[in-house]
Amino acid sequence: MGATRTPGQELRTLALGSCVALIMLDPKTRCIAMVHVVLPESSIDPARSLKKPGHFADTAVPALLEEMKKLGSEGTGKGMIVKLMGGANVMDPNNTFNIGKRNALALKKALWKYGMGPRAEDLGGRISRSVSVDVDSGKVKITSPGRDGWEL
Amino acid sequence: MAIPPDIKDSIAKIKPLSQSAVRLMSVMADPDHTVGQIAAIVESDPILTGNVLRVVNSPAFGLRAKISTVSRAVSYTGGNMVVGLALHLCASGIFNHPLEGYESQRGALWRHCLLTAIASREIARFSSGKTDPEVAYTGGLLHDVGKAIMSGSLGNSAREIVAAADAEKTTDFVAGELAAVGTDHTEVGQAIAKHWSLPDPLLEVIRYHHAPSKAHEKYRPLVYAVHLGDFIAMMGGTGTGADTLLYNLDHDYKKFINVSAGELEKVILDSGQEYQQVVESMFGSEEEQQ
Ligand SMILES: [Fe+2]
Ligand SMILES: [Fe+2]
Repeated sequence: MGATRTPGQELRTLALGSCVALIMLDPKTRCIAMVHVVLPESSIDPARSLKKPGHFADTAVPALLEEMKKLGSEGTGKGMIVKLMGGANVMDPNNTFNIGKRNALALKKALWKYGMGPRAEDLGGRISRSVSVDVDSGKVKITSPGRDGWEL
Repeated sequence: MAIPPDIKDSIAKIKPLSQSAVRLMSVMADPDHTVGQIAAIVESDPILTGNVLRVVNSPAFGLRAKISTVSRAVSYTGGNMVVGLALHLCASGIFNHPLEGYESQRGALWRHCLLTAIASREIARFSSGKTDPEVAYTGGLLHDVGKAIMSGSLGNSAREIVAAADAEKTTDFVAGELAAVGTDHTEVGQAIAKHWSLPDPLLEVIRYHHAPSKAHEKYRPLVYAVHLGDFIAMMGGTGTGADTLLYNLDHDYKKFINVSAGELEKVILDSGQEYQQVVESMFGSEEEQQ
């Protein structure tokens, strides 16, 4: 989990797999923030969610807003540009291994609580994505081995 | 399909495993093995002894007192980690082979195999006793060895296989390897395992980890455990490059592994944490991922 508004800086996360990267951009302060979410619900391990709130969709959203507040954002979620990427999905009729899908859904639910929703998303598929975003352009760049990169 | 002659030649040139690695694997395959048996093998191998002591005294282990005897060290690290160290020492040429063919880096194969090993062991605990978690660990460590050799033969095919898979023209990477090279990493891996004289259960894991229903009935629960462990590693983003996640999950896993969604999530958390600890104790602390 990280946030910055320093010109020239970028945030990146490697090989998301079924994890989802949540990016928030604050147009007012030009602050960018990113968190790498591993699982949908913190209730599976509350102790760990206290140490690493970014691991779980439900605790990641307030934690990321808090990080941005430290850099001058309002921290309510109002006016934020939200982007989601990752959440590669494994087809499983038993509803067990489709964690990518569950992560994405849980994040959207958690965002909704703050009246937020993704403006752009690149989710699902059988693709492990690496993601970066920079302060200057606010553009999200996505790469994956064996493929040409793309932007979001 | 037969393995092309140039690949056969490369396999024949692979260094044999160390005696201690082979002995450790056979001891670990016995469910009744003791710490004493493992310690005795470690003590007979000075280089392995040095490594086990270095790892157990690394900051990642967080032990206050310095450990100076092998038997105490092994009681802290567990046999799994000792097998991993022994394999990494004697087959580092294989595990740290650059994986250009998969558009991945040196070290990626070892990391993927390590996380697969840990996850397979945890998943094996849901097999109602039908497979031994420790054997699943060793199977996970070795399941993708074939990629070390396949990488060089793939050339630029990975890009085409990925494009075909993204366009839903091919079902999985194994089929793509077979079409491009005439063999795949499971067949090559099995040949390497034979070259190393590994026991049958490991040969089956390596050969059928992407098609577990084809494994010999006796070893099917084990092969399914590693099949799932492999998916957990790839879902965690710890794959070997272009092929990551381009495999089919065998939906019949439920017949062998009875794991709920919540239990799987716990396995993912615990395996990820243990993986991080092992990587740090072996290689020093890493830049933390966000
Ligand atoms: Fe494989
Ligand atoms: Fe694998």
